Amino acid sequence: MLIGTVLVVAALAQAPPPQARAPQRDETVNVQRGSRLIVNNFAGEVVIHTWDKDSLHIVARHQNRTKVEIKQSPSSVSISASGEMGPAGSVDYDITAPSWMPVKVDGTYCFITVDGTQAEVTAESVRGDITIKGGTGFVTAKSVEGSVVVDGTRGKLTVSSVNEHVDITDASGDITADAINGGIQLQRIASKSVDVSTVNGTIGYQGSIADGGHYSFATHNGNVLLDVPENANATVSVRTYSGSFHSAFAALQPPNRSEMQRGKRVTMTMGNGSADVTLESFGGTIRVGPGVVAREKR
Amino acid sequence: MSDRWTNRLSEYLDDDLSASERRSVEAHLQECADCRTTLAELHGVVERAGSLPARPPVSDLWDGIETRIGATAPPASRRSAWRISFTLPQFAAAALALMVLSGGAVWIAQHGGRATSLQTVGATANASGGERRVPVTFSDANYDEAVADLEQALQSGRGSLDPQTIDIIENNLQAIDRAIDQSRHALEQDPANIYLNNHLAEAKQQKLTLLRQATAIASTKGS
Repeated sequence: MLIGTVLVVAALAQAPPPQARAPQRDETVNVQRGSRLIVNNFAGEVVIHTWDKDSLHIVARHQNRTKVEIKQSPSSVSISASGEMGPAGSVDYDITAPSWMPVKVDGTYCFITVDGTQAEVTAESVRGDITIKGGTGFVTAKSVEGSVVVDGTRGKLTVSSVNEHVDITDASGDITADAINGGIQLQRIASKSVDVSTVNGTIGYQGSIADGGHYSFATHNGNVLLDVPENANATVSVRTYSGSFHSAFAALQPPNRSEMQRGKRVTMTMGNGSADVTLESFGGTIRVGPGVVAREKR
Repeated sequence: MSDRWTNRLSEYLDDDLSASERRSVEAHLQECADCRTTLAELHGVVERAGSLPARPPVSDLWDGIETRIGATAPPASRRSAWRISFTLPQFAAAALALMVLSGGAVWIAQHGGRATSLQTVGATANASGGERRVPVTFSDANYDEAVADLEQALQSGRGSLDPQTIDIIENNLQAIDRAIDQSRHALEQDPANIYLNNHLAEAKQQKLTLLRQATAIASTKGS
C-alpha cells in the first residue's frame, strides 16, 4: 500500500504542469514586407515577440474542440479561432513576428503582450491587461477592465483603461491617455503633446517640457503630480475648485493662495513660458516638484 | 541696457518685488542710466494714465449679459485683487490692443452688434427663494436624449455582456454621474464659472464616450 502511494505521488510529480498544454498548432508562414498581422482572440493570452526574419512563427495552445485558422493575403495575416460547436474556447498564442510588421490584436477575455515591435500596434481588450514594449507610428491600447502598460513607444500613442491604471514609460511622441476609475502615470516622457484625463484617479507626469509643447492634465477627484525640470520654459495654468496647489518651484508660487480655489485660473511662468501646461483637478491636490511622482508610486 | 533688470522695472514700480529684489534693483539703478531713464518713462506713463478722466462706456453690456444668464453680479469680495504689471513690450502691445478694441467698440456702438444666440448656463431661482436650479440649456436636451438612447441600447444588449463587465461599466457610469452632480452643484453657486462649465461638459462627454463604448461591446458580442 505504502509503495503504491509512493509510486502514484512520484508519477504525479513528474507530470507536466497543467498550464503547459501541448501545442495544438505550431506553424511558420512567410510574410511579405508591408503586410500586417491581425489576431482576434475571444479568450486567452496573446504574446507577440519579434525577430529579424520575414516570417511568422505561430504557436497556439487550445482545447481539442477549438480550431485555429490562419488566413494569409498579400496585405495581411489573420489569425482567429472557432469552436466546433459554438464559440471558440480559450486559446493561448505565442507568436514571433518580423519587427517591421504592424500588429492588431483584439479580444474579450484576452491578455495581450506585444514586445519589441518597431511598427504600429493596436491592442484592444474588454477584460484583460495590455502590455506593449516598443512600437512606432500609431500605437493604440484600450482595455475596459484591464490595466494598460506601455513602454518605449515612439510615435502617436493613444491609451485608455476604463477601470484600471495606465502606466506609460520612456515614450516619445504625442500622447493621449484617459481613464475613469484608474490612475495614469507617465514617466521619462519626451513629448511635445500630452493630453491626460481621468475622473477618479491620480495623474502623475515625470518628463521633459519641450519649448512650444502642449501639456494638459485633468482629473475630477484625483491628484495631479508634475515632476518636470525647474528650468523648463512653460506657462503653467492651474485650476481647482475645492482642491489645493503646492509647488516646490520658486517660479510656480501663486501670488495669492486664496485665489486658487473656485475654479479660478491662476497662470504662472517658468523661464520664457514657451510651452503651455494646464493642470486641473476639481477636488484633488495639484503638486509640482522634483520626485513627486516617484514618491506617489512608493 | 540690462534685459534682466529692465523687465523687472514695472514690478519695481508696482511694489511687487521682494525686499531683496527691490534692493538689487535700486543698486542697479545707481549704476545704469538706461534703466533710470526707462523707470522715469514708466513713471510718466502711470501718471498720465492716472490723470485721464474716467469715461463711461456708451452702453453697459452687463445688463444684457445679466438678463441672458439670469445671474447677479458677483460680490466684490470675490473679484480678483490681483495686481497687473507689464514690461515695456507688453505696455506697447497692450496700448495697441486697447486702440483696436476701442475702435471696435465704437464701431459696434454705432452700427449695432449682432446679438449672439449662444445660450450657455442659466441659473433660476424659484419665487420662494428656495431651490436654485441650473439647467445647462445649450446642450442638456440633446445630451439627455443621447444618453437615454445609449442607455436603452445598452439595456437591450445587456444579456450579451458578462455580469462583471456590467458591474464595472455601471460603477464607472456612477463615478461619472457623481462628477457631473458635483459640477452641477458647484455651478449652482457660481453659474458663470468657465472652469465649471468646461468641467461639466467634459464629464458629460466622458459619460457619452463610455456609453458608446459599452454599447459597441454589447453589440459586438451579441452579433
